[in-house]
Amino acid sequence: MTLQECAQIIGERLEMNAIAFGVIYEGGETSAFRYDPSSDPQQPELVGALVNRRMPMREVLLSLNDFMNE
Amino acid sequence: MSKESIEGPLSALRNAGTVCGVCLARGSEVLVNLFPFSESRINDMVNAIDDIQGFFRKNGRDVNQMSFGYDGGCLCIVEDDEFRLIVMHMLADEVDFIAKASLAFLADFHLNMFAEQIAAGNIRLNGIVGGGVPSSDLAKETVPQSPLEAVAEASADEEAVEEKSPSLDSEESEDLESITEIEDENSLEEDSETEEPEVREESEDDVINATARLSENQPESTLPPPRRPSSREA
Repeated sequence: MTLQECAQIIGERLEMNAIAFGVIYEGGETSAFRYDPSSDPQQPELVGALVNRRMPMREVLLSLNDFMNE
Repeated sequence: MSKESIEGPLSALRNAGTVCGVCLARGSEVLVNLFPFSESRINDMVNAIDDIQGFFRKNGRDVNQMSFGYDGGCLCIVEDDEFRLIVMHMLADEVDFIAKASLAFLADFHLNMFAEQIAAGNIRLNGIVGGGVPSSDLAKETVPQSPLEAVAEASADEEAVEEKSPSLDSEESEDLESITEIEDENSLEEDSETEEPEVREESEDDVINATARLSENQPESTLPPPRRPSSREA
């Protein structure tokens, strides 16, 4: 099961279908993804990250934002 | 633990920052729900999260914190042992603060439960604390004996065993009694002979002289002699 699927399943239960990002801590690692808000909703662009430490979630999301804005 | 005592800190978290919903769950069971959604929707969400966590656990993946962002808000899910706290907030930048607060709440919650179980005399916890000894027996246990007491008890036990041993023939026993009586008399006489005279209590003068004798080889002391208490007559 991918992180996107998790986000989708939970979002469906709350009737919030537009997913923005997802971050998890798995052991000592951080996994994250983020959709590009400026991309086409029918074919959204996705950025992912895998960090080998527990990085603050805010920093991960900011890094992904910076990467998309480059 | 009462529901009110749980709801207090959860309400504080519910009113912190941009938080708009808090839910405490145990597996797929909702314990406290402070979400602005219907119960059925929350139950569905908690079941879905439990399934996801179960899937991760089944595959040996230790996922204890998740965060998802949606158009209507963000969800922060923190898991500690069997309990799970789900917090909905509006600002994604607050996720770390909320996760920390949630972990602190869960740790406090666990500690309270542990303390209550000890207070209630939970058998499992008594086993951990008392090494498998029931609490009633633990209460009966006294302070460990000193070695002397242990020896005295052992000798008393031995005497009791000797008393219980099968008795000898009456004639033999009478002979033995007479022998022991004679031995006792002899031992008493010996004791009276060998008894040392009573030790005379040393007076103050003797003490001073004894110290003087001890310091014979040493140079004379320049200190004045010790004062003696004198009673003045009025």
